[in-house]
Amino acid sequence: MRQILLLSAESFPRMNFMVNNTWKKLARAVLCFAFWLLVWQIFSMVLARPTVLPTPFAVLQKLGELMGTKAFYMDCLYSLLRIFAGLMLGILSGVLIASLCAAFGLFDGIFSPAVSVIKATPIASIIILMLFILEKSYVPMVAAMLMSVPIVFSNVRKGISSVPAEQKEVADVYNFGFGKRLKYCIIPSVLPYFSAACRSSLGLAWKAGIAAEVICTPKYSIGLNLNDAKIYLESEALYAWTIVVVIMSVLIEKGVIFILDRLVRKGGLANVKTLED
Amino acid sequence: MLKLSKIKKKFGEKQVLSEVSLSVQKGDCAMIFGMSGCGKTTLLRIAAGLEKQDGGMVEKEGKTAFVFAEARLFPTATALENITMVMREDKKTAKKKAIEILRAFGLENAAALYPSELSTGMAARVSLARAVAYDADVYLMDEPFKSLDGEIKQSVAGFLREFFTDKTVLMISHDQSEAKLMNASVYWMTDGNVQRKSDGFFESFPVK
Repeated sequence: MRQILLLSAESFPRMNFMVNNTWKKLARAVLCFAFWLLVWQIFSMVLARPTVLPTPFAVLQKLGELMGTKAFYMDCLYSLLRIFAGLMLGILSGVLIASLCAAFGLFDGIFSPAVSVIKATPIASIIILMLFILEKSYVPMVAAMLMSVPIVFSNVRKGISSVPAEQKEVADVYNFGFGKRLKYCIIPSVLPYFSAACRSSLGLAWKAGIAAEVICTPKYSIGLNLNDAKIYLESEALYAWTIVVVIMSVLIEKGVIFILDRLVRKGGLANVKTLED
Repeated sequence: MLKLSKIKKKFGEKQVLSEVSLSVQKGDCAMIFGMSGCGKTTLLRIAAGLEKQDGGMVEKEGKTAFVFAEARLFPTATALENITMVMREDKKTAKKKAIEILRAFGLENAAALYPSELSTGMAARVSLARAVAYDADVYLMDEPFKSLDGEIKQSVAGFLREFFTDKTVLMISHDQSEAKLMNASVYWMTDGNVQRKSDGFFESFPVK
């Protein structure tokens, strides 16, 4: 009874506050969204050129139309798979190259300049060059991969070199093998850098992949639809597909961040306060 | 056995160790005292192979464990895991043995805690427990009791005294009472050299 009284006295106001807060946040988000829709509507009315700026209603109507077709989902899925595969390959290659460079000086001499060159080369040049070499449906994957390799490489390299000297000494004194060094010294140091690299390369890989699709126009792709919309001056479709790209980018980012956070927590990194601990 | 012969070490222009010789037999505990910055830790690190000497020789028999002045626990591992990670036994035996060691150090309730959840004194005891679990032949310890207070220090020293009966131990300390506590022979370090001191040394020239 006493517990129930305590609940009603203390917990309910807090719960009310939380509910109020959520509603407030939601209301604010809806208001902001409505504000920008209104700005868009006003601009499109003032401009009065639907081929340049269609009304939000027309775009949403087109989006609804697209979402009613099977092809829409096929295009989204194929683009997603293509770019995600590229991103995964990029992450794996970045980790592998960084590990080899950290372990062997010779690899560092070979790969570091190559990664710097990839980083500095405009993605459009890479895409066009790849079109000469690869089948066009693979180019977006390679573009996404090449966007993420330099980011993952430099972050993982930084993480490996930031293993505290104190920990290395403990590992030396107690004769740790490679497995234990990896588990207790290297992975905890690398994981925060790796997580940051994945977050940054995700957005870039997605944008580069879609850009590559627009240039290469592979079958079943968002890029092909964007390109068609440009060719046939279908502004509503162009805006609708752009909205799809943005929404998918946000959703993927949220999903990956969720997975990475779980990974970091599972790695025990929630208990890391300082490197000197 | 641990034998340091004519160890020399220079940092820049400063000669930190000038031909230091010291020998500790199996079953003996030697404790080095001296002012801060006189080269005690450098000597210990050279003995452990963590630092390279400019001259002289280090001879050791068997495995070496080093207890650092700071606990240096791995932050992503629990207290128990910080101990089992240095053990060679299978997982189950190592865990059982580590829990016994933790109990001996009064840390049975801290097994599941992470280093960030331990007090400085508790972390220092886990670090000592880790060295004990390693079951080395030579123990090199840099101020191992620094973070321990009264009663805990007494009980930890009592356990270590027994554990060290067939080990070779070289320790650094700033507290003369620790020499008595560990039945250690006293060495005084000054001007890059060590000298063996008699048992009554602290009565005539107290460190503290």
